[in-house]
Amino acid sequence: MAGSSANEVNTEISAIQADENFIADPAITPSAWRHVSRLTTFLVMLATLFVWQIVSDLHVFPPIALPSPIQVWRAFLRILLTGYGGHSLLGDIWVSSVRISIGFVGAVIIGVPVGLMMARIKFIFRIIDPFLQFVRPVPPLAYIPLLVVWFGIGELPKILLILIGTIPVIIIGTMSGVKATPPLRLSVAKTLGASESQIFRHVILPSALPEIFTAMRVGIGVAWTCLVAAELIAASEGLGWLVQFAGQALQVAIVIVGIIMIGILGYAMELLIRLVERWAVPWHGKG
Amino acid sequence: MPIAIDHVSKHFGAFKAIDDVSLTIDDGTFVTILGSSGCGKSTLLNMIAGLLFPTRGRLMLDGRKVTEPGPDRVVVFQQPGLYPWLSLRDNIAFGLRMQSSAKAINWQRVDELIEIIGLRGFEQHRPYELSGGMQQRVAIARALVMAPRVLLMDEPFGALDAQTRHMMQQFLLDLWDRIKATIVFITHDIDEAILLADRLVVMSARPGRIALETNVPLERPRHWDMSLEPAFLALKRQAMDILSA
Repeated sequence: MAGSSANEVNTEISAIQADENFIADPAITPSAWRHVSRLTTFLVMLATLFVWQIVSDLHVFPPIALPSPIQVWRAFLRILLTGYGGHSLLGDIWVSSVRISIGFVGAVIIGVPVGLMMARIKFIFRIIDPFLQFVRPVPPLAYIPLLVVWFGIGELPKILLILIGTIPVIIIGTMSGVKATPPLRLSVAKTLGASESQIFRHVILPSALPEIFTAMRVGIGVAWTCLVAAELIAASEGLGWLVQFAGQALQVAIVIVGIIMIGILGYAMELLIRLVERWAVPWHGKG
Repeated sequence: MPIAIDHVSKHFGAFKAIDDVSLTIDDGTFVTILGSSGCGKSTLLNMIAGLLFPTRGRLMLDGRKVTEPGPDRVVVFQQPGLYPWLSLRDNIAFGLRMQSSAKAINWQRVDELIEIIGLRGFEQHRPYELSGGMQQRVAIARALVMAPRVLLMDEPFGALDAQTRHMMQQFLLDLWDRIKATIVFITHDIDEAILLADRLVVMSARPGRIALETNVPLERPRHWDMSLEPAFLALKRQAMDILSA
């Protein structure tokens, strides 16, 4: 507890100084409360599993429709060790991860420069915007039949679907980031003698970064939705395929394993982007 | 005389922000332009900076017409406008960096200015880790490192609390005694305008015109005590009459 008492002393000193840059920092909340708060999350999850186990033991629903958490855990171990439908769980996770990585990274590589150019050059905006406005309101899933007819059920249509779904999100976020550059930052650079291209590179681009990262976090969710949808309908491997295939065989425990895997992976990707964001835009929300 | 403002008017549609203003600003003078809000004083400063252009009249710098912003007329704005992705040191060097590679920058000069603004030891801090007064000092150093012909200041202390504002005014007075730069300083604070200036310009509003242009008969170095001297108070009375007219 030595650490927490030192914290209290620090807090007191800054209160006495009434420092003008003293800002209430959520990180300074008493550490004991943080532990309680974390424990709450853990307890709620545990309680959910417990209730699930009881409901399923009581056979409120047919066991085939609602397997117990323990059965799901066993199904997880089984397909982890021996695989399912001809390939291993890790294999399916790998396939889905590769697809989404290629699709999402591709969307960022294409979307960010296109968004930057559209925000800066009216001519390019006029060319691309109609397509963007057309593609955006159509749910990406509506393109799946078309993509299957054109490109079959290989890797290409899945990656294309991710691109179609994610690129507009990235483009719009990037454009809005560019437009949200505070005018003061531009005036400062101008009076310090920066050229147009220097202003773009040294002021507009870093100013747009926070919004680009926000768009990426939204985009990864969209990309993941597109991928799983594509795998559900037209695939022979991957997590979406696993869920679909097990569902047709009424192996609900495996379906649930697949859903949990999809959830965990999606969350992990979001966390990864947040991590990169914290490294690349440490000033977000402070500047 | 570096700056010559010659019968300049600036209209925004039917609104006359500035009407027929003429003013010359000499080398090494500290000029304050005092006026209530909406009198066009910021418009005037932005025209000197090259961010706005006169509707009528001419605005010359060293005999050349002002056509664009330039590092010879750096502006310190009301908000510091520092770049949060750069350290304090890199913020100060920003203007130099726009003219040369990072290696060719005269870092010694940058560090000298950090010393002058009293922020040694904070070189690697990000702007959001500094207080408002510290940030504004960085903004001033970032302008001064360019060694501008004229330093333009647009109510630079307007966003600070009263105590920090006094501290910054004294800081600027001491700084000016060392560097004797040409400064055009915009403010709506009468005391500030008189205390800082060699030459005081008072503007009246709608349309923005110069109502008074006079020397400030106070010794240098200046200090806040001087705001109680009869010469100060007489000038203050005169300015108040114009502003409340």
